[in-house]
Formats: sequence, C-alpha cells, structure tokens
Amino acid sequence: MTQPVLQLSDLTVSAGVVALVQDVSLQVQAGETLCLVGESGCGKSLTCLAAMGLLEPPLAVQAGSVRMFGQEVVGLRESALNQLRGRDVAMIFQNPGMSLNPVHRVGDQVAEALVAHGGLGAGAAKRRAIELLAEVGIPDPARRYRSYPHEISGGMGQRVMIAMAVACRPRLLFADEPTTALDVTIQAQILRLLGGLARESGMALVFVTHDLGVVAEIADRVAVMYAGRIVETAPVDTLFRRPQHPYTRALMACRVGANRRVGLLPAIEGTVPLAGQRPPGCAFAPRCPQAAPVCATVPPLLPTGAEAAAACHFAETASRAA
Amino acid sequence: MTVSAVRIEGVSVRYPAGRRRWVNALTGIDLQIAPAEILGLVGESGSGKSTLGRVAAGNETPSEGTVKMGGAALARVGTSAWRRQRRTVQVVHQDPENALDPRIAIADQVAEPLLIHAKLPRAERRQHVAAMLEAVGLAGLGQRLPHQLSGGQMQRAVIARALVLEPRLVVCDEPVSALDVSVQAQVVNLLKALHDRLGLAYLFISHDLDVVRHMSDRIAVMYLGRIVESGPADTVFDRPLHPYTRALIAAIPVAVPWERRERLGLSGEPPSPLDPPAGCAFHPRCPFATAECRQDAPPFEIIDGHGVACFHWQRVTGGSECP
Repeated sequence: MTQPVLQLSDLTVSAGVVALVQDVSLQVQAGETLCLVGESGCGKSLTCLAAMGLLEPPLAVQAGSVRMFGQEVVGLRESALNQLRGRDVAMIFQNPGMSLNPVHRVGDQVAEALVAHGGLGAGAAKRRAIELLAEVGIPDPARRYRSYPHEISGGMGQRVMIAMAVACRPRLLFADEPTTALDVTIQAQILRLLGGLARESGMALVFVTHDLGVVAEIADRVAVMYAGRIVETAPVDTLFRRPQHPYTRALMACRVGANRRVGLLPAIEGTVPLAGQRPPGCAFAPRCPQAAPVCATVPPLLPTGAEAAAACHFAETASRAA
Repeated sequence: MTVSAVRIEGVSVRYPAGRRRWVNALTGIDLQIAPAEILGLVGESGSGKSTLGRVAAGNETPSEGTVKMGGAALARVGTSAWRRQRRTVQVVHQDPENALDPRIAIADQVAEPLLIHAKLPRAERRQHVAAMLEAVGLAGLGQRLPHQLSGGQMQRAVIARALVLEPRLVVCDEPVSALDVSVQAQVVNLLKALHDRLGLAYLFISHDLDVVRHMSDRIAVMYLGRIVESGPADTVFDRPLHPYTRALIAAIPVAVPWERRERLGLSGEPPSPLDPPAGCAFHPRCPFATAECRQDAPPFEIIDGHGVACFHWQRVTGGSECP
C-alpha cells in the first residue's frame, strides 16, 4: 500500500486533565474521501484541528502522532507548519460568515492565498483567483471578485471558502461541516464540487458531518465517533449494509427519512455525555440497549471485516444476529 | 364549516430598502390551517418561510391582505383584544438557548404565560406547570437553570412554555434544526404526541424535508415569497407538480451509498428579492422554462386539492416520475 496522505496514531487531545479525543487512529490515502461522523461534542472537529496543528491552549495533543505525507507534524514549529498549511493542506470551516474577513473583498482573500503560498505576483494571483471563483461555480466571477462577504449569500460564501482552500491545489483538505448551514439544493452543488476535486486531482478529503445522508453521498470510508473515540470504521457500503456498533445502528435507525409514515421515530434515549462526565468503560453503555456488565471496560477497536473495525464487546455477536 | 385556526388571505409583506425601493418578502399568500392540522412549510433560506410564520403568529403586520385567527380579524397591536388573541397562538423557535432566559428557573419560565394571561391561584398554577413539565419529559427538573439542561431538554422547556396556555396554533420555526440527530427524533416524537393529545394545529417550518414529511398533513412549498405548490403531504412528495418542488426533493441526500445517482441538480441560487426576475421567479433555474415563463407570473391552479403555480406542470409531470 502506498504511503497514506494523513495518518493519525493513538491521537489524544486534552484540555488540562480532561481528555476530549482519545486514542484516535485513522489514515487517508490520496484521492480518498473519509467521513468523520458523530454528534456535537464527539471530537470530530477537534480531531481535524489537532491534525492541522490549530489547537489553542488549554487544548493540546497529549499523546499520539499525526503524520502528513510521511512527516510527523506534532511538535513541529509554527514556521514549519506554515510551509504545509495553505499549500499542501487546507481546511474549510462550517460558517463562511465567520471565516471570511468582512472588510476585504472576497476575491482579494482568494488571491492572498495564491500570493502567500503559491508564489504568484499580484496580477497573476488576481487572474487565477477569478478562474478559481468560476471553477467553484460562482456566476459572473469578475464582478463577484469585488464583492464584500456581506454582499453574498451563505452558499456563495462557502464556495469562496472552497476556492481559497483549493487555490494551491492541496493534497489534503479538511472540510468541517461545510454544508450544514446550507440549503439542500446548494448542499448538493457543494458535494458535487468537492467530490469532483477529490476524484480529478487525487486530493485526499476528510469530511466532517453529522448527516448520514451526506456520508452516503460522498464517502469512500467512514469513521463514526462517540464521546471522543472512534467506535466504528468501515468502507461506506459495508457500514450501511452491516453496521456493527449499536451506536451506528441507532444513528441509522433514528434518521427521519428512514421512517416514512411511522407514528413514533426510534430515538436514542438520554443524551451524549459531557467530556468531563464520560462514564468509565464504554461511553455509549448508558444509552445502549445491549449493555451488559462487560461494558464497564473500554472495548478495543477490533477488526470486524475487510478494512472494518468496531469498538463493541458485542460486535461479532451483533453481526451473527443480524 | 369549521373555523380555521388561522386564515391568511392575499397577504403581502414589503420592507423598505432605501430610496423608494422595496423588498417583497411575501407576495399574495393565501393559506389556511384547520384546527388540529399540521401544515409543513418548506423552501430555501430567504424564501419567506419565517416571515410567513411571523404573520401567522400575529407578530408581523402584513402590508396587504388579512389574517384571521379563530374567525376573528387580527386586532390592533397593543389593544386588550390583541392581548387575548395572543394566547391562542404561540411560537417555538429554532435555538432554545436564545429563547430561554439564562437566569430564570425552567418552572418559572413555563409559569410566566400563565401569570400574564390566566388569573390562577398560585397552587393551581404550580399544578399546571408541573403537569406541563411532566408532559414534555422534564418532571423534577423545574428548578434547573437553562445552562443545567442539554439542548434537547431546553427545547422541551420551550415547548412546555408554548403549550401551557393551550393555544390553538403553534408556529414551530425550525424546532429541531439546532439539535443533534439522536435528540431530533425525541423532540419530533414529543411534538407529534402533544399534537395528538391536545389537538393543536401546527405551522411547521423546516428546511429538512424528511422531518416535514414525517410531521405534516399538508405541505406548502415557498419560492421567493410565494407559495408555488401545496397539497396533502404524501401527494406533494410522491407526485410533485412544480419543477422547484421536484428539484428540492431530488436534492435530499439518500442514505443508501450503493444507489448514488447523478442528480438532476438545480444550478444557481435563489434570486435576490431586491431584484426579482420578471414572470415566474423560478424561470432562471428551471429546465422547463419558456418565453411565457419569462413574461408572466403563472396563476395558482388547484387540481383536486393539490395546488401549483406553473404554466407547464402537465409537461413537467408528463415526462417521467420524480427522479
């Protein structure tokens, strides 16, 4: 197998003594789209920020390693990180309204990335920025170049973010809920755009979402997170055909779209435990219909099939029963 | 004939946009909600869903047209008749954290509508509040402050506060959009159970079409301030007539990875209401548009209770089933 573009090994992120992300291991190959799925507070965004080296104190990588293109980046100096970020690695955030600078024209913000990381002069950067705006589907890009963030819609702002992120043709792109704030019609356009970039340029994509419908649309592989840990990982078809972890199954069951015309939706009782109050053992046990005394110990992430693994004491049993 | 919970006729809402320019947020809306009916309202952001919600709740005075609640015209703001009308309609907003006062215990916030609208002895009021908290699954948590509750529990508190006066109509504006997937189902179930038990009418606004379909008896689809299609929920979803409705439904991601399809994607974005296109507002994005659509706004036709504003709905549905 070729060297993965991104490889996390036993990554633990903590704020002081509280571990927020625990023992996360995953890898992404060139041209592959990995979806990180989970509910708010499960650590999916933190995992991306840690990989990008964007944690602010008190958040810090406590243990584990992050390798990009074979190079260890945990503990790398800021100046060395800046060599990677923006050029080889980029990130798209959820809310374009908060990530674009309100006092600069959107086109100049795209061009800035090209000057800073792509080594272009001002004129060439501007021409290239207009091309990029056109590539991400912004109509009349030369005019839009001169718009300020407040003059454009949320969907268009997200496209500007994508244009900035892909300006230097990164080999690895983190997208943190890039379509959550958008309408379904615009979401479909953005998914097509990102999927096309991954396929055509061999870019590795880490896509964070809580929407299983979006996962089914875009993922090659999926990692499901709960309370700071990966509880299941599998190729997308395997995950949807034979989910092994009770949490994955429950997430799929309570999708409203999966339950046409039934009176009561199957809900997961209880709520996600807060980071400081996670139960010892399996964090899902208090909400799990299958919980047993053995769940008082943390289940290891063990293989359940080809390239698939689940962290549940009953994963094997579950597949036989199904 | 029974009296509608709310009846909106010919309503338009205009806002000034500087120098003798106007934005039409709503144009010629006709809508009624029967008692105990759930009407789902869908459309992209900026289509006027929330404005229509505010009109139905009596929080927005239309520039044109009439709004009747329980058969009576909306009273002038601030009068005592207006105050009496207020108790028959309540609103549940998207973000419960902003809808609750962070410094007041949940039970006191649920009691507040009773203090304003119902002169009840203290003991009886407490009883009412306790029963309401129990109905939404917050029994025993009344003394907590909002920050001591989870997002789902806060939304339950907001729902308890909205329903404690037993309103006829509840306007739910994206009530589950801010909640986690596993909690969404709990709150959807709660809203549905309370509807069945109390016989309330809901105006259910959401951009999540799956949730709307699950909740609603009838659905209205909005585009740029107009209703472009309406009808029974299953009919609209299974046999959509308007090209926009078809595109919206086709854009819902389907959680079946081995059935990924090339979609008839809708290109472009909704036009700005400051500068709406002539004729049918959807024509710049519509694959079926003709010269007629660029000139005239299509009338709203109703065929067997299924309404649509499109010149070409027969051609739209004649070709193929919804992709």
